[in-house]
Amino acid sequence: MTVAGRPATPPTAPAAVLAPPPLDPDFTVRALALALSQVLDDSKRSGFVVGLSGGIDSALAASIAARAVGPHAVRAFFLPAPTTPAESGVAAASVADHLGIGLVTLPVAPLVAAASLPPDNDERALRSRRGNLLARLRMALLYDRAAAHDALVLGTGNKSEIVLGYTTLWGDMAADCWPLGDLYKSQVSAIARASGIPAAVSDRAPSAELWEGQTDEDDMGFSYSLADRVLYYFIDERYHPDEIAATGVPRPLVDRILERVRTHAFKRRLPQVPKLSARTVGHDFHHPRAWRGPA
Amino acid sequence: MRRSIHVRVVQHRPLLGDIEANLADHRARTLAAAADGVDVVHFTELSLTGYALGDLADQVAIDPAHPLWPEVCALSEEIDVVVGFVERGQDGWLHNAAGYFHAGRAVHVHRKVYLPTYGAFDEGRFFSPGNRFDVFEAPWGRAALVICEELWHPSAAHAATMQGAEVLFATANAPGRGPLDGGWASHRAWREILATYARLYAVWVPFASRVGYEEGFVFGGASAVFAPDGSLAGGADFLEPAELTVLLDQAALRRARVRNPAHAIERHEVLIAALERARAGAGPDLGPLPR
Repeated sequence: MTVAGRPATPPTAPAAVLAPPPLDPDFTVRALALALSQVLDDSKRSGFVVGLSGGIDSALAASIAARAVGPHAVRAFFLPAPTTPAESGVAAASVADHLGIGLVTLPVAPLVAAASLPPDNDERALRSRRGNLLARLRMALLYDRAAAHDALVLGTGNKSEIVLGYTTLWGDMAADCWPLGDLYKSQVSAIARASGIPAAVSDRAPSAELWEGQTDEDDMGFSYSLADRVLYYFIDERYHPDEIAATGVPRPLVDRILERVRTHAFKRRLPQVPKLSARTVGHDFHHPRAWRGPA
Repeated sequence: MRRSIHVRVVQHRPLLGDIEANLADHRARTLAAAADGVDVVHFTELSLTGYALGDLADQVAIDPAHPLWPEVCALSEEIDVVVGFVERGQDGWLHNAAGYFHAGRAVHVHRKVYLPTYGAFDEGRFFSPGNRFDVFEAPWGRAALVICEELWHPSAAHAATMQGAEVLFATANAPGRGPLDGGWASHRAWREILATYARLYAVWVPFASRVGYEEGFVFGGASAVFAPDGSLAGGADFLEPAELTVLLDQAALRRARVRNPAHAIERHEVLIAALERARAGAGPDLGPLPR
């Protein structure tokens, strides 16, 4: 995909060299299903709830959960906003049908209206606030339905979004498990296609749909196909930015991508606790989530 | 080896922090193995406790005074066992340990020397390192226990085999990385390393590697047994629990050592001198730097 005015793949960047590695889709799904199955066992809950947006990430996450714990134990919710296009609802329904999971539609519009956001002269800032509110309202609904159904909230974020900070803190980031959190967007797409996710979903342009016409790639100013390559070499292969640029990616693009990683570090950590005592949460009180036996 | 033995490698998924449940699972498996005529049951690293213990390590640590210690020893009343556990030393420090048990007692306990504390690993925060690579006499021959990260230090296998080990019982709790071609790239690397040790040192290498999921780690399995010529004598899946029963043939060891006697003439004094220089911080003598 090409972002206006910017070549997604610079002519001197050999795609085969600068790309996250292909993964074995079936084995990856097996491994992640095993993980989700154990997460649910450890939690003593009885299933997962997931927000199905009609996009590829939530479709694949739901698909893996259905494989892990059975379709009957996965409840999907479509949470449309006033800005959500009609085809998203159609796509979400096709995913639910494909997986054999139940789908309930819960419009978020009344909640957004009830929040009556104070106006802002900066239309872009207002749009962003409204988008974040929307993501957090969806989170609140999902956690309520999770409590109602004795379930965990299944996160749908991928590694590209998480490291770029293209997420809403305590909104779509709030979940009990991120099964796709170590898969770049391009890997998610490849696995989703191999997993039989309907093409009407897997071929859609990535969008948070927080406002009309929004796409991830327009927002960030670069394509996932380019960002994933830069991120893979920076994070996984420990290349320096200079070394990435030397492979042919224009240095300003490398910098813009890595700047997002740097400035969104706060989203990847739990809130800080200033240490006062001998043993402090977040510093030196280390217990696994599945804490069996006596304390 | 004084005789051939049947070893059963157990690729299981212990319950994190639940030593009593894990002990019951060990008991059932050892009883079944004894009924099958197996000589040694080989469990994984920290097989009695699970891996991602964090501060739970203190609560699951055992020593000979612990009420469960007699039950652990009792696993070996009819059959020998290799078990992984958290050991509380007499001085109170905690160790990631493996023990070889025979006839109702611990014949040998090895404390993990190399505790990975980098990247995703944090063992040095919760355990104290061991400081010895030893071998021990089992009823059927000489063996050593090697735990996970130690297998990425060739010195561990070297130290064990130079002291006469004929079987290296390798154990691991390793997260899978790189889902490629129906398995983990990381665990194919494990197998390459173990096959190399088996071939280089002409030893049997049974490898017990756990599966299951804890705290974000999908453990990579791929348990295996490597023969003294480096060949794969048996292998398990990358995700599913399994048991592998393999005959560790005394004759295969003899033949491999006749074919490859390289280590019979090992010059320990040359290595020791090199290591002494390394310990003193002396770099290699490369002559004057080019200008």
